[in-house]
Amino acid sequence: MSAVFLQSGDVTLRPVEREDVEFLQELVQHPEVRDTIGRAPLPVNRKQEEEHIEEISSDDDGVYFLIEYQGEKAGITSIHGLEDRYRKAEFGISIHPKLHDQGIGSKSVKMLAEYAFDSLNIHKLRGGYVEGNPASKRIMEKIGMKEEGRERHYKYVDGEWKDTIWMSILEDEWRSE
Amino acid sequence: MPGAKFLEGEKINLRTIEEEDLDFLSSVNLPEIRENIVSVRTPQNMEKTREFFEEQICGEGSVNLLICVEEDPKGIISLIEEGKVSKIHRIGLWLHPDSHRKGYGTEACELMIKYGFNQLNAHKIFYRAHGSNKPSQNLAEKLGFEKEAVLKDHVYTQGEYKDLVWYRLLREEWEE
Repeated sequence: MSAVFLQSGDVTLRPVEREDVEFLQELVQHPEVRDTIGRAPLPVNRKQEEEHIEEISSDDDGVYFLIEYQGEKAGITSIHGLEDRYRKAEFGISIHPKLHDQGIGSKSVKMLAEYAFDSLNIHKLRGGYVEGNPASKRIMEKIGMKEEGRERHYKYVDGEWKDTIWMSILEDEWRSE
Repeated sequence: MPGAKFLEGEKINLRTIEEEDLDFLSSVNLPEIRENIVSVRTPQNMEKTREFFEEQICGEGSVNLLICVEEDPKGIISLIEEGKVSKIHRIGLWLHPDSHRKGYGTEACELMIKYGFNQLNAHKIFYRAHGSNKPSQNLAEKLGFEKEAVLKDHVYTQGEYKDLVWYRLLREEWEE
């Protein structure tokens, strides 16, 4: 298993490995997760998730981390848009529902933002949450993100369309935080 | 190791289909199964079964799940996108002969139909049954499907021509 890349207390971020396939397969199609992420709510078998891990390993536009909490696999987080000329990036995060409410998401996003601004020199970090997901909203507000706008009818969940609310923070706002 | 649980019912649950399930998928060779499905006539060796796994199950355009009691496979069910623009899907399933008449098919279809309308935003779901396959037609009717068309002498199987009966379920019919 690869070494720790970022650490904050008992939460660590490390590169995603092929051995994480079973955890990721379970995570992305957990009913509480698949309804909140951008990815389509389709079943994913091990072979498909392995292919996904291969794709992200060669993706120059994004970075992906496996989140561990006290040594246990807890979730995934990523930054996309690194090849953007204006250095505007977007992050995503999913924590396994069995580990919700432990502050893992907040710690992870804080480390991720710091890394994005300080090591990758991005100008703006953006994130979105599907309406009715107060936990994600709180995580983004905690690092100083402001509401940017509402994308209407972003995802179809349980028979109805849901909006996504986009939040962002700019580099000078991050430095003055 | 069984696949991940994707949809959960009372008697059965629907799981992702994994490489380890190839032996079970090969049950499609059993006469009781292959004679009642439209697409299989020839023997399906493991290489063909693997092709089906890689192309249909791991490919795009369909949702394929294993019908299980706890972790034991009993059959497979698919929701196949037939028209992306029109949002029309075809539902199809087979159960191992040991698992017929236990209500597994009804429950699997109910779960898949709800998923199709509520998560995939389908407009219409259709289903095909051989004219000679009464249990299959009863299943469609029990699920609230309407008979839409009978294609006369459309399938040759078991030494004779059989009708192919098309059933449909529109979203508003399902919501009632």
